[in-house]
Amino acid sequence: MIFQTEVTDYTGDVFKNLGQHVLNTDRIAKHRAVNGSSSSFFYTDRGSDRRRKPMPANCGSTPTEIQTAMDSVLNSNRMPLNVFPGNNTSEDTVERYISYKDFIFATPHRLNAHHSWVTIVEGFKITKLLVDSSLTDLVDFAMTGTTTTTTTSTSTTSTTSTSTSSTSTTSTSTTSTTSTTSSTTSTTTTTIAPIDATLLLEDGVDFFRLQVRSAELNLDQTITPLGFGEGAVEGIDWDTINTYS
Amino acid sequence: MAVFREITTTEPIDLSDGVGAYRYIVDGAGSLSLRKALTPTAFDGDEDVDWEEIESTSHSGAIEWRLGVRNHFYVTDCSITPTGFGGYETTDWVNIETSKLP
Repeated sequence: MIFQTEVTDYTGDVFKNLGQHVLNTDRIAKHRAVNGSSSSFFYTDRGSDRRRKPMPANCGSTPTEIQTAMDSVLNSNRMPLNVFPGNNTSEDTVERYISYKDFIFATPHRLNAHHSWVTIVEGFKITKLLVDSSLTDLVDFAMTGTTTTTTTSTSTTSTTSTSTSSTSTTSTSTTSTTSTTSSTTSTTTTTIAPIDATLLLEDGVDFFRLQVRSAELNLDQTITPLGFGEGAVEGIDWDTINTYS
Repeated sequence: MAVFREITTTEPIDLSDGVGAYRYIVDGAGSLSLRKALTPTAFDGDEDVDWEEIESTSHSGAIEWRLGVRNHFYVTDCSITPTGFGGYETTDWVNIETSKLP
């Protein structure tokens, strides 16, 4: 029903940006293979409204992958969204439910991969919402009703047991020797439950973030307009001011 | 426009990538404490066993702390009167630290 893909080309005004999108297969028509590993299709933002022409678009998924997404079954027809009021990330989110038939597409937030822009249709109006979910979370929740847990747990148990059974000779004496050595070593390593690795602090002009990477806390600042966005390069688009560990 | 995130004794900022975990919290002495988890028990456990303090920032009379962005700088402020951050700088709150890339 919905799936994540790289939109590699566009025409018209459906997609504002290239890059990763979550698309709604109900809005795809006439998909066909392009260059073997990608597809072209028509995408509609208004469903059955015949006044809006579907837009041609290309994506990095094969027709088979699109077909698989079309055939997949949603966990629920309702899509829960944790929406930032006024698209302000410093506000507490408000939970809102929409029908998947109203979902048009989603793109990642340019500065925070944990947030996404979700474009939906409300009657005659197209609305863009900033939500507190990554693109992966949106797809995971649609298909499974839950988001991927990234907690890692490692458990190692080793047991050594040596036993020698008794030997008995019946005459005037009985000899019995039993030796049992048993040791159990158990080592359990459970990583710390992930909370949120990033705190973005921005006023629309300057962008800073506190982010835990490789077990270190970093204070970063953007340098270019690409900032912390997808494809951004450390030292060029952003850099670290300080590291705490 | 300035944007801030306030920190109190009961409302810390927790950040974790699943491997390392850090917490900004105001401790009992009113200082801003940056703590690092040492075990999975983390901040629910004991100091120097489950977590350690890696940085402490204090100011006489500090009540609440905040991190934020102001005038192109990443800033750390603390309030010093009950009026707090709703009042005037140097009277009700003071800037403790500013940072930005060179």
